[in-house]
Amino acid sequence: MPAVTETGTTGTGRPPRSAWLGQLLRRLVSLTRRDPFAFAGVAIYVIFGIVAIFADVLATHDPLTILFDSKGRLAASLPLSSDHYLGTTSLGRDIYSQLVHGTRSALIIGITAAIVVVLIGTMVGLVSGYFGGLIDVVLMRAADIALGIPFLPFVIVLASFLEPSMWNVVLAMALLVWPTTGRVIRSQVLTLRERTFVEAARVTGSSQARILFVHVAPNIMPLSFVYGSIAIGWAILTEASISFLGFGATDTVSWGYMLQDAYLSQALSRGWFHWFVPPGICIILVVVAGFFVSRGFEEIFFPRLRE
Amino acid sequence: MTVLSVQDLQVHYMTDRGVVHAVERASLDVPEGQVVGVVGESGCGKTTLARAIIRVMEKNARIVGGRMLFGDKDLVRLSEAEITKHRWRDIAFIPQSAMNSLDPVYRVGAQLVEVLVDRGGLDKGKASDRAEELFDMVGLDGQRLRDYPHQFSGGMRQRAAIALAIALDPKLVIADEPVTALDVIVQRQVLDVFKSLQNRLGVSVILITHDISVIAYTSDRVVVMYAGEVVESGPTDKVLTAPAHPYTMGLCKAFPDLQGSGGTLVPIEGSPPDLLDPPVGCRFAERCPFAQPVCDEAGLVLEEVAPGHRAACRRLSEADTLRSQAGEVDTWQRS
Repeated sequence: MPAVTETGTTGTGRPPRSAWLGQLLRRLVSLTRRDPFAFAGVAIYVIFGIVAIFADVLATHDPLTILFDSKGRLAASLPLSSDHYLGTTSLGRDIYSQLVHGTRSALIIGITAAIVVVLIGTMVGLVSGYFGGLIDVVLMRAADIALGIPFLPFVIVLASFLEPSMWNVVLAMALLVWPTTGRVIRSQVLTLRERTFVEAARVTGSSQARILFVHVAPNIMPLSFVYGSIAIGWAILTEASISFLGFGATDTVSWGYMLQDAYLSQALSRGWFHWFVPPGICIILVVVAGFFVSRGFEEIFFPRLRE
Repeated sequence: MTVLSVQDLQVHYMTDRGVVHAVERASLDVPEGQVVGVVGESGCGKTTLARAIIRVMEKNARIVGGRMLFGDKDLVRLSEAEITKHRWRDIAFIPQSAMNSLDPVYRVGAQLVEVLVDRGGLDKGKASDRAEELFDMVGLDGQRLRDYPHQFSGGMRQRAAIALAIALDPKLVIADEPVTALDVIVQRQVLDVFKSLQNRLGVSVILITHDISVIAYTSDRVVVMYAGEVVESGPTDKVLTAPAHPYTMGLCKAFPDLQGSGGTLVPIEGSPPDLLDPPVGCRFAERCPFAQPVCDEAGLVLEEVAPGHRAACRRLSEADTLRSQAGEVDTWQRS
């Protein structure tokens, strides 16, 4: 029988199946042309990622060491110079090095929190939506409670009970932020559950686990990634807020810590913009990049939106 | 030889408002290598019947009576594990939304191979060859196995669904409205694929549709359902040219006739009875222009009109007269 051509036929001779990584890269490249915003987001993440990984090399000084000049005087409140790219704080610490090390802690917090939130949210959404019944009721009521608790006060309370540490933010996000992801994924699973390919798998005797992870989960992955990339920005923003309020870790440099330090030193009224503007810009960039990337993720990971 | 014999099947839905008598005393035989069309309007129990045969039903549906003999087995009595073995391998089902039944995140070929490997027990290499063969059989380019479902047009997806259904050489294929969502040109193409495959493979088919022209084009036998009951069944040419039940007469009158003089299309006025509390007598009586007091009495059964042609009507003996009256437009118009 001759092959039929109908509308919807794309060009013949598609490239042979190649390595998964190669495909992903190719998609990333094609994304830059179609969606410059997403590309900008990815670029920002890549740059911050490199800075975070090579923070030790890039930093010119130890971020917490109080510096003295050759004559033994405190190197405080120095302006921008080739020795101190962004000058020094009022206590003689190198701002540029703080910024570089702050990038590392920001990314560690952001990525860990995002992974934890997305893992919990996705699992809850999958299980709740797919199995329904009592499990669903219990999980969704837990979600309601978690959503009802105000986030920032909760982190502050948490920080006062536990040691002040940047992991408090990750813990708080794990406890309180998963419902947003979980509920959206649950609703998606509710419709997927009724789709014919899931029914076909079920009535031909596929195990529940197989249906859940082979047939349902891949269909909601794009949503997980969207919420993941938003969670990165959220976590970094929260950590900055907590540190700025003075409930953050004191032994780790973060952008929020820098802002608090600058605030307490009255950097604003003294016009030391080089102190508090850079961390502010970094926070904005990371949060914005998260939103940009979340838009692009969908296209990279969801075949329907490709072409 | 009969592949499947459904006898007095009863399916009920247990709802909050009561028991819905969705399928009542439905009987049909599927002879080997033949296409049996099941026709009826929306909500008459066609899909419920089709799904009952492979026992893939809504949670609140119960088979409360009857037998479904498939070979030497009664499908009603099989355990879930036993019927699972038969599904797809012996009895394949093409669901109503077959067009949308493919998993959007996997390539069509991968889905076909998955079935062949997991259900058919083939190894990967053989499965790939078989997948290409199947695509060729339904008239799709083997290249397209590497496509995702969204890259297929509606007709192509329907062909892929047919390929999936016949993948494991089933004895019986149940197709629920296989071409309803397609435009008529593609409908014709898909039905041609269906017919040629059916001829080639000698597979038996139950074809569910509301479109009597699809039945006329494809089916050897036809079963007419109304409000959950089989009202008439028989060879397609007999049933469509000499219907014995007033509902079938009305149905034929409501569809355009290719050879006909282009007479007026006449709808059957009214709507089917509430299946929560169906009438004890003929369920069509309320809409039937020929209804008489006797029609409301219980005890209506399918009676033989001619060999293999049966209908359930109180006025079966007057069928010829009724048929000529049914030809008049006025008969169907409520005053």
